[in-house]
Amino acid sequence: MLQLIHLKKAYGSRVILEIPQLSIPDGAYWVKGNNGSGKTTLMKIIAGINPFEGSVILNATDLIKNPMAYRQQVSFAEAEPVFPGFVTGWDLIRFVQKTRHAQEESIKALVDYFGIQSFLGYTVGTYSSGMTKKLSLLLALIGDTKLILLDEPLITLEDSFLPILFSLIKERQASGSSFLLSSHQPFREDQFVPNGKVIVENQTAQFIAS
Amino acid sequence: MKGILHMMIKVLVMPFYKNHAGLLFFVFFLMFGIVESTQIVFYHQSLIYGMLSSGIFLVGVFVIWLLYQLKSLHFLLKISDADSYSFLNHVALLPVAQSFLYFLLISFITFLPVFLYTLAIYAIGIQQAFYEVLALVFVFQVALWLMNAWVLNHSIRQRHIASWVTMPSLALPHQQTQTGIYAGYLFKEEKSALLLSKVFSLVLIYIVKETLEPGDDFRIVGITWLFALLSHTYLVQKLKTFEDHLLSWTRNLPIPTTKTFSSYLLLYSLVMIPELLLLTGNIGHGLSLLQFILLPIFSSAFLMAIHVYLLKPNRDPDQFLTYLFWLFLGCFMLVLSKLIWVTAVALLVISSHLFNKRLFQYERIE
Repeated sequence: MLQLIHLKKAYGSRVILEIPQLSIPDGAYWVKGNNGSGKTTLMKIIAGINPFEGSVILNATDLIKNPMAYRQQVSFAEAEPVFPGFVTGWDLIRFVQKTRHAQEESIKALVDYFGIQSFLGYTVGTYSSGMTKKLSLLLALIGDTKLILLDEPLITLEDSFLPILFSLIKERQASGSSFLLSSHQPFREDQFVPNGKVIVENQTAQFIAS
Repeated sequence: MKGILHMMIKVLVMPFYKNHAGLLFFVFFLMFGIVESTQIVFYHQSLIYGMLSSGIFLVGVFVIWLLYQLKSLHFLLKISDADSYSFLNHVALLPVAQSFLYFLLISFITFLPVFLYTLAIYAIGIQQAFYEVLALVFVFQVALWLMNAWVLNHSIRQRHIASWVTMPSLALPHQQTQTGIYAGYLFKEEKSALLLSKVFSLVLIYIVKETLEPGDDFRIVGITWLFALLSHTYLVQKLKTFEDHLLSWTRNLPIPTTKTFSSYLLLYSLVMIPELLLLTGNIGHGLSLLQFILLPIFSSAFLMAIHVYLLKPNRDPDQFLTYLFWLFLGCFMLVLSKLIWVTAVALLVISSHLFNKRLFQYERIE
């Protein structure tokens, strides 16, 4: 269960988000909203990347009061990921693996599943945007996180990769992980049927169960 | 057409001065801050006279100007190559002579701090009748502006041709750790900035090393070390920008704040290893082992104090120089008062506290 209590995000006097109370049960949800509605800001707040006012609590762990324990449970993939160009994909995977204490077997399984072994030995600066996106999604799936946030996971990926991604999401969901997937376009029903929606509009968010 | 030049100044020159504020401040302080105000005119007259009358001195000054101009060229080439600067490719649509003229002006404006000092050189040179040397200074500086303008103009028009000049790159191990990634950035992406910082600080340390005698006051090394550190402030700024742009996603990872803080401390100690190595021969000869060990600790503490300032939420970028000035002045006075240990410990404690407080409260605002 994810809870947002009296959450407020503002830049100076400009309020971006103001959510008095929002509870999202375990499951996989579509974070829906127009461009500029605050979807990415909301996800970055939940990921612990952007500062905010109020409380964000996941399974009774408060992000502000217990930042490390909270971050151990949450992972995030950006809509347009950027990484240092001089490191290899393997360098980043090992870096995240160490911080999330992930097992070697799970890393191998993920890399095999994604089918990206061929370019992981090259520096990230040589990757195409699609390759960078796949690496970013893989990094978010490393470790045993309870909530996985994927910001616009569909963009820059080839259609043939989407069934792989969604089957992995179903697999992780079955083993107890929850997902928040933002997208400004609907998902194909044969690929992914969310358990509900988090609608972000008018500087606030509301939860609608299916 | 004025609009194009105005835009070029805004997107090329302004970022140059913002990014090099620390370095320029360091040079300014070196030139005007260490001499008593009553002696300053006489000091600079002597300095300029020495330069105009000694061939070796003049060559040394030319080398420094060349390094400065190369640094400026490297910066301008690097930012104009960024995706967000692709609009600059339109400059290639202008007639060659016109775009060259624009880049010549850009080169001149980035050289302006040196040129302003050169006016004093011309004044004293004319007074002392050093006409031939002044002609040489004029030709050399114009050649530097032309060189930068030509390379920039050529680069913007030859984007489709692969560059034939590349700087050697180091294959660094441990890039799967925070310190490794930060070090990788400095050694791979900021080679010229690192080199320039090192040239300044190594020359300073070398001069002190050569003059150090047994029984000399440690404050001589302490003050020099402080100046050497000041030439590295630019690297701290670059690291912070790197972290903001390419490592913001790591804020989601469960990395304890103390570990991130320690990674930076380690990096800032490692950065000063060349200077430290230069002083190894002086242990027991003007420098005790304890004092030698203190230097990397002081380095981390001073550079970390700059780093935590850059983490201040909603900070005014224009206040950075003021902060740097007061931090330097405070440390300078404390080192003079033989309180370098106290300074290092105090800076570490304050930095650690602020780092813990600010790390997750900070957000880069575009």
